Amino acid sequence: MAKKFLSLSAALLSALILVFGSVIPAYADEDATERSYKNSSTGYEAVVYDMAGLLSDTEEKALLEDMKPITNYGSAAFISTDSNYSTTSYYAESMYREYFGKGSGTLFVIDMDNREIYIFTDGEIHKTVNNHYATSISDNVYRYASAKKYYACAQEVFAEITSLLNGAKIAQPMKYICNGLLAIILALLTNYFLSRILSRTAKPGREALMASLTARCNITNSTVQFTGQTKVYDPPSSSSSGGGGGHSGGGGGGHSGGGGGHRF
Amino acid sequence: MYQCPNCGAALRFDIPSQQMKCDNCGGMQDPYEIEKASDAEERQEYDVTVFTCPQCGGEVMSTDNAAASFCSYCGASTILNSRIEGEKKPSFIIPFQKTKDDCKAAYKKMVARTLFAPRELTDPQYLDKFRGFYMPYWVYVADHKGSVQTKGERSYRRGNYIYTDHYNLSCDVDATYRGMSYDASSSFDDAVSETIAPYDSHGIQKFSTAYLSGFFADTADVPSSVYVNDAKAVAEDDVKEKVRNNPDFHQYGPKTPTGEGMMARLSRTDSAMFPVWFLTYRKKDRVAYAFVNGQTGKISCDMPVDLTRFLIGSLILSIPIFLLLNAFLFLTATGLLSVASVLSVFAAVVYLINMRAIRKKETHAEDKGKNAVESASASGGETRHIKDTSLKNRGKKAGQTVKQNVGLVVFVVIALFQIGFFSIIPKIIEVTDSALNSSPLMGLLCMVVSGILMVVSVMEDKKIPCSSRPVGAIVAFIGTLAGFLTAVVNPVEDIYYYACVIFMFICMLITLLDLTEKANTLATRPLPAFERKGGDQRG
Repeated sequence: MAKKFLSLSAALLSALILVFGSVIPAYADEDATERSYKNSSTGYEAVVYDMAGLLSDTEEKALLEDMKPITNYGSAAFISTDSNYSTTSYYAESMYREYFGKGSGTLFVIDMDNREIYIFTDGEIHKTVNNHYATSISDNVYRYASAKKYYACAQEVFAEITSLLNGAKIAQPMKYICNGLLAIILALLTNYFLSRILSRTAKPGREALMASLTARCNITNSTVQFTGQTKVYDPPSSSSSGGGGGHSGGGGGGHSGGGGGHRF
Repeated sequence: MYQCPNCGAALRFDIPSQQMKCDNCGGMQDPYEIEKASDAEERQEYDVTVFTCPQCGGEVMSTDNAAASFCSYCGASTILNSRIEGEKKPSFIIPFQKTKDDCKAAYKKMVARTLFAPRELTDPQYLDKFRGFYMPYWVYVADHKGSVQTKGERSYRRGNYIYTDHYNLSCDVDATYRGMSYDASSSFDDAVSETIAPYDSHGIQKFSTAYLSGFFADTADVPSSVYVNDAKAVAEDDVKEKVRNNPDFHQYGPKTPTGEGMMARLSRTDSAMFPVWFLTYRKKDRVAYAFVNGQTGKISCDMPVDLTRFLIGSLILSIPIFLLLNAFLFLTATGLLSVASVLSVFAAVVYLINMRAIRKKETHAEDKGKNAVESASASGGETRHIKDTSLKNRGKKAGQTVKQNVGLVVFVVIALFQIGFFSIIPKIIEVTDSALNSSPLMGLLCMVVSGILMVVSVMEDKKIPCSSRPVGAIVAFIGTLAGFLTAVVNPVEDIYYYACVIFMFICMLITLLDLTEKANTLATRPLPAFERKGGDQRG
């Protein structure tokens, strides 16, 4: 009897586990594994934290490999999220500060909540991968994210960052297209104004007009009569020579780093 | 007609020598000593004066104010004496000092510095068409005599106080200004005569009809009263300046002076003839003119723009601009949309400014002489000055204009309101600091502004006689509308932004081309203005 009861209990328990286990939501993403790598010679890290579950295990490992060359210059991180209550740029910066503080590095985020990708850099890497390049890279890769090719998107991002850090150039079609169109419009406007200004004949000034006249003007009996005096109380301002209210030494509170992104 | 006492051939005024010269034997005569051999006989037929050429007997009709002309048949220079004798005879003249070659050189220089001028303007055959004209001018003499008062003050610091000493300043003024001159012909635009001014009054000579030989001449049809206030203002401004700069007053910072000595009195008004060279360039139904001051050589040109050269020049200029932009400018697709919207509005503003200038030119709004003659003929001989442009009348006219265009205005206002209301509120809510989201507001602002400019341009266009539609302003508005709608939709793909910007670029190109056409209208005048038949091209 007891054996039967135990068997039945075990079976029931197993069934319950099977049933409820299958409907438990995928909160396993909150506990998504954070993969990392540390460059032993430079001390910089590479981190992959796929909270939104966009990459497979294989892709995460492959991406970590792709990020390793960057650790020669600074840290690197890939983060995906699907619950962001702020802007993507703010999120990227705050995550970066959490991981790397103010050190040299780059962070690429795919924000599924705002449907936006963003690249944030700081330190030495930011001197090369500045805001313009970050925006260009985002502009080059956002179509991958639109097509749900998230690994390809991230891989391309870090490949282009690596190219820049190694001294190579990257394509910036957006920049050239925008500047090309703007150049034509500005040329048309400039030529219009030049043609109007250069064909205009200036009217003569007062001096030229007066020089053409025969003029005689005598001023005599000039008198100056004092009529009264007023006074206004106006003490000289007491400016300190000590530079009061100046900034603290070290220029605290400065904002470093920056980035660029694109919707997808 | 003046005949050479040596050989009997016709005499003409020779500019380099400032004498009357015989083309046949080269003999020179003093313009004041030579006597006229014969005049053109005249008779009236209906409203036309018919002159008979003293050389060939040909009949020349003149309905205008011509005082000297040329026979259409033989080209002989003819003085139309009845128009410049007695009271109508001018008192003074400034003889031509600049020759036709001087004019050609000045004109070539002007064309060289003008971008995109039509090639035919440099054709030597065309340049040879310069004609010399004596234009009628009124010359005024103004006097100032009396006392002038003003106030002054001087401030200084002593301790914690600033002391200001106040003064009454006074002086006596005795001044005379001779030579303020204004054109007295309604067919000579005031704007042009102001540009080629001034004529140096030191070169004024006593009038002799001999000087007119070889040139066209007009008589005055604008009353001398039209420019009285302008002449007085010149004298009063100078007296004011002299009083303020009086060494005895200067340290006291004198205010605006007043008093009897500040009031200008016109002591004399004389009629005179001043020299002008002019050249015509005709295209379709419009004529462009070049005017050269015959005494000083100052030139004023109507310069049309060749559209083909303009476009090619712009393409070439875009290359260095592109290289320059690449060096320092980085725009995203949305940023480019905002910039394109702003530039569209800028083009629309310039378009409206041009429309206003064309309206003023076509309606002679600021030509006092023309307005005085036209209002005199409209009111049966009573001269009135230029129309009152006081605020009261301007407001009244604005109200009438709005009433006439109320349908259009209401439509545009409702359209803008609907677009704004249903777009801007959700957009205001979701606007963030991100530059990616900044373009809808910018786009809306640009669209509203260009919409208003379009409405105003349409109103201006209606006031211009025989005008074409303000296509440029309408197209600029369509461009900004497209930009705004794209910003509102906010597509992910950059290609939509590029396509919209290209569309806006095409709209802006149409606006600028229409603007250039309108500028060409501004640079030309409707026919006829100085159409003189026959004529001596020697001059």
